[in-house]
Amino acid sequence: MAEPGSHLERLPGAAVAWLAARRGQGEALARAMQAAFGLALPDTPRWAAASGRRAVWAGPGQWLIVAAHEPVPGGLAQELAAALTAVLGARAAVSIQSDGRALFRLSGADARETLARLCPIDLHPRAFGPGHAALTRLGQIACCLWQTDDAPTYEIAVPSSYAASAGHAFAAATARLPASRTPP
Amino acid sequence: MRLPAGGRIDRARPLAFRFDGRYYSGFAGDTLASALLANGVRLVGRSFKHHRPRGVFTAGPEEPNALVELGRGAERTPNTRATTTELREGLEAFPQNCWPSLRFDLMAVNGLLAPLFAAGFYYKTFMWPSSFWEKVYEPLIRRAAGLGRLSGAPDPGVYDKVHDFCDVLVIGAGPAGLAAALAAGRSGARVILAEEDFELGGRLLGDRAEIAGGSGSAWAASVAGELKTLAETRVLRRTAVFGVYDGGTYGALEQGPAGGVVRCRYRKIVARRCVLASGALERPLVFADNDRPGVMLASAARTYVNRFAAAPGRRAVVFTTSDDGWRTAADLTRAGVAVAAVVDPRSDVGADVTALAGDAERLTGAAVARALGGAALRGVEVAGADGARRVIACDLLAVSGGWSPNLALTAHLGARPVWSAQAQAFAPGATPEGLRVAGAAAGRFTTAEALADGFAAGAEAAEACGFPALRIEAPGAGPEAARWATLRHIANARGKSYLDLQHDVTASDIDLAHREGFRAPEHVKRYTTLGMATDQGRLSSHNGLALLAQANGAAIGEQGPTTHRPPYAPVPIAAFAGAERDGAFRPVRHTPTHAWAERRGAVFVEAGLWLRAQYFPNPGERDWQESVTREVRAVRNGVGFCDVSTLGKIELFGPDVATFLERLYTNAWANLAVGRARYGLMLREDGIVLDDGTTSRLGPEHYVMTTTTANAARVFQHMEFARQVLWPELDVQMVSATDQWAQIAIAGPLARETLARVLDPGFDLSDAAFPYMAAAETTVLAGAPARVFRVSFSGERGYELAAPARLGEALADALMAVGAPFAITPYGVEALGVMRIEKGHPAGPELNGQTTPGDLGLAKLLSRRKDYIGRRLGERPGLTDPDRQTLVGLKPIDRSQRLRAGGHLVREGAPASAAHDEGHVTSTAYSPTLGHSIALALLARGAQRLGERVRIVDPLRGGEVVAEVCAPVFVDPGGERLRG
Amino acid sequence: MRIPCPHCGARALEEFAFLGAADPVRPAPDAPLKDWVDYAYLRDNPAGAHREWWRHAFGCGAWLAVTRDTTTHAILAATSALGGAGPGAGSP
Repeated sequence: MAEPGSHLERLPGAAVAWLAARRGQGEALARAMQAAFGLALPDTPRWAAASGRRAVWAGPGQWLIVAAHEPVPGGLAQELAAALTAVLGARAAVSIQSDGRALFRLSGADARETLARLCPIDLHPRAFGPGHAALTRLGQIACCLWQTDDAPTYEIAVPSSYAASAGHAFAAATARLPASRTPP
Repeated sequence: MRLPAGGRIDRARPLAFRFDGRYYSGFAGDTLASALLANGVRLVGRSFKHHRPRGVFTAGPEEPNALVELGRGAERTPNTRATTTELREGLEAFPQNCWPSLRFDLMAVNGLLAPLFAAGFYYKTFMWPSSFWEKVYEPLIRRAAGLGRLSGAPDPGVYDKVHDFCDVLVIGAGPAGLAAALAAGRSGARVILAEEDFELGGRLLGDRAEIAGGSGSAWAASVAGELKTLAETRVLRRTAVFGVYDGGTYGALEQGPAGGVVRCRYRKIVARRCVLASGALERPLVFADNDRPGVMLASAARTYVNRFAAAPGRRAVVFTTSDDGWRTAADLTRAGVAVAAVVDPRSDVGADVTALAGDAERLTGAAVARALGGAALRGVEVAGADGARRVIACDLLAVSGGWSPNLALTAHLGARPVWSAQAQAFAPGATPEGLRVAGAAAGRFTTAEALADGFAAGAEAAEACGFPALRIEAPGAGPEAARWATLRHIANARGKSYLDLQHDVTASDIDLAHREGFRAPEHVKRYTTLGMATDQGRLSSHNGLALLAQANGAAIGEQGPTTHRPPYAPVPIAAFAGAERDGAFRPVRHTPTHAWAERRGAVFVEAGLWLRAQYFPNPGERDWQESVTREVRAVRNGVGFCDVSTLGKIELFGPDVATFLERLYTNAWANLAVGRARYGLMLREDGIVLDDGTTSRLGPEHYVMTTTTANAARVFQHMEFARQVLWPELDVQMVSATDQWAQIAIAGPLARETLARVLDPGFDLSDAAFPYMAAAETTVLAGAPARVFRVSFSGERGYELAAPARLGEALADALMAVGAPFAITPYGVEALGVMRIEKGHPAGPELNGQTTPGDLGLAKLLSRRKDYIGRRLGERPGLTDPDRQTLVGLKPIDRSQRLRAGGHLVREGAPASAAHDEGHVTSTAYSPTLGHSIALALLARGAQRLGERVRIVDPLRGGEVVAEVCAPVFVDPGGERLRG
Repeated sequence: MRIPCPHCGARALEEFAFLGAADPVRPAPDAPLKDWVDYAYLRDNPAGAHREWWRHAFGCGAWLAVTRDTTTHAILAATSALGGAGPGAGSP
């Protein structure tokens, strides 16, 4: 059993690009992404990662390409978008979203219980584990979340204008966790 | 009083509490009700209408009498059942519905006036004159009626809301529920066992049942222990499931434990299968003055002595129509309570049953005709088999009319319970998909039957979820007789026979309703208020139906029970809200310059979920008007900037975007060149204006659209419908970029000079290279990606500059720095609004869901050469009628007068009546540019009436202004300032 | 109520936005006005199976044609306008 409690952090440096296949170009796009970045675009609510980039399913024919750290504001996002656009050409649409999404990372034994207060989806290990992703609600905010490890660790992307409210929602949920986290 | 030994209370942990101002002591493991009984407190409240003294009647959630206000001040919670309230140190409770005090209640005079409060009282009495309804009758009724009082203060409690998922939800932890949870849990399924009580066991705690050679409560404890060891089984105590909803969704309310942070927790449970083991409810008996404190359900009397070691009286009579009632005599005797007699109207009670009465007198074929006493029971008048009457002294009367399955939850989705002649009770009818009823709730009333049914139901539910079926042999349980008869009203000339203790509905009310023509149970319920109190007829429903059937000359099963609806248990509204209240009632969206504007002392205003800077007051300014006027003048004469990031921004990609836009917008889009922006108008399919905005073409297959702030989500959804459903053959991809970009409007004669100093120096901003309605991508602040659009909402030379959102504050700082020589002025949405009214741009008040393009003077944007959403239905005569109200400007004839939005337009000389209403004022502002108040309005045939005078009447706020009708563009109608 | 999104799996009602009947088909631009009026306004109100548009607004954004029994709220089918039965199809 992991340590009780959970840790929330904001990931301000992440670069995010939205990627969508042109009509009928899904397979061609997948091949191009595999060839260029070694990324296998998932076609179900999951994510795949390779060479510092994570492709998170974000709806049919859509993905968020996430890279962890951005040394210069806008730099990596630009680079990411440029690389994607150059490689993919007419197979895909690319939109920079690094500033459009606020990324949070919630990790620890209480993370699942915290999210149970905010997300109306089943995050039990039998239903959702590392590699899974979901588009759902975080309270009243639309979010994209994915699990990265068994700690468990979740990364959650919300529209950036909601970042403060999302932070408050996490804090309120954490404050309401039952005192004893051991099963009754 | 407290029994010297026994019970499940922890005598090592005494707890002090207060009731009605007096201090008492109880033990951990007590409820408030058991602790009061242990302290000899019999009188706990007054009844709703008659203000009759009342005592504890049950030992569970069906309690109709012992409702208290818990806590004081803002913490006060009314209508709390003392029978389910776990005793804790320092608990403070107050009786309700009595004034000035519990023992001396002035309203008890209502008891003497009881004939007035008969069925239909409110309907008959408070009829006329109608002028009395609000001023006299309502306050009177409200003071006299109502149970507990709300504090009126904000609720300081912390409420929680959780989403739970499981394979098998088991509701109720009596013998059947425990067995079901164990069977499902052992199979490995994810199980939630929800129990309303703070202890597991249900009737096993209150009865001396025998299981597997030991006590029932010991068996319950051992199962509870095993459930703890099952990793995927969660036991939720103090958790009442209050509603069954579609798709296997259940609502539950968990009370927080004493000393915890959370007062209560709303659990929304999604379960693939559910075992409903909600047990059964014992039925009271209907006889004269059956509400005296000291009259109590027989099962409750057993629970108080067996579970709580609290004797509810010293000398008892048991009045029962069920075998089960006889057990009460045995348990009371064993606990040291003298049992004077057992009265049973049946004459065919088996010897094995009557043997349970021990030394007590056995009066079969007899009935209690009347309870005697006032604030406490003194005795009962018994009518013997021979009709002779005698009085037996007692201070406790344990009554049992048999049991009814507790089936409310089975009926929440519309299923109707059915009458079971065998069980002499309503039994579950069709059940919701995935839900199975088990144990006493399914009519399996003996412990042995309940256990076997519970194990089977739990195993079946787990198997249905894909887990191995475990056939568990149910442990043996002691023999129990479980037969009863339905007894109707024991008529008596004197005294009132209560059916619904909480709403003071009596047997004679049912008769009266029947005499007045009411036949259907639902009608009688509403006419008499039977079953409409907080207990929702748990105790009264069966007897009420039986009496009504008797009056109707029908069998009880022929007329079905009344409908059950959620919530089964009271739920505080705050529990549904959870943390989403006060400041977190809904999320707040912040603009990229929010913190910057805050530092500058901006005043903010809510715009949908957004917080936007409304204006930026300068030191010394007297009011908002002065600040806004300064901001407007700065834009009209120099340069200002405003955060417009809240506008919806939608990125569109693909070879078919132009075709897509042609179909979404009313005007032409096929010929928009790269690097150009265009104003567009979107309609709903019915021809009414949906939204407007500009869309720019940034690349051959890349466009960016803006929508109004208010309609951003609606327009996105509308476009997704068009893209996915109407025209899936189009190759278009779209994504919201609203949050990605800090978009700043820079406006005023000096806008270009200002903008040039933050953009890439190589970017050519000259009017030749970047004219009105140009759009381009470039860089800002030394290398950050940027987009520039030459568009204007203010009517001045204007640009909108977009940079990545995190640079919002840096951009604002940079603009302040480079614009300092021009006295650059940040402005808020108030100045933005003033300038758009001066320019006659329609916005929210004009895009009101009723206006057509023609109404807004935008008919020139309707292409006749293509199909678009709203074209065909927009051509209907009613939407193109020349008599429609159209957008005009208004100026007060007396320029010092102020125009107000909402005023109605009437022809000069015409009366101010609805028949002469010709339109209304939609938007108003004080125009700093013109120096007087101006307005936009929708006026019948407005475009043909320029120069006319109209009256603006405002009957709500009073006042009338005469105004001149003018074109809706007040400033620079030719647009010279715009183009530079 | 829970709706089985073909892309995301079964989700609670609070993630969806309702539009209305899914059977009416947008008429051709030159169709008689009556057809357009029917398309915009005329609706059946069946007691039983009803095909209707729901958008998975707090999820994948797909418009779903959901067949719902109006008397029981049972969901009989859900197909996506974006096509393709994903992994969630049919799962509870």
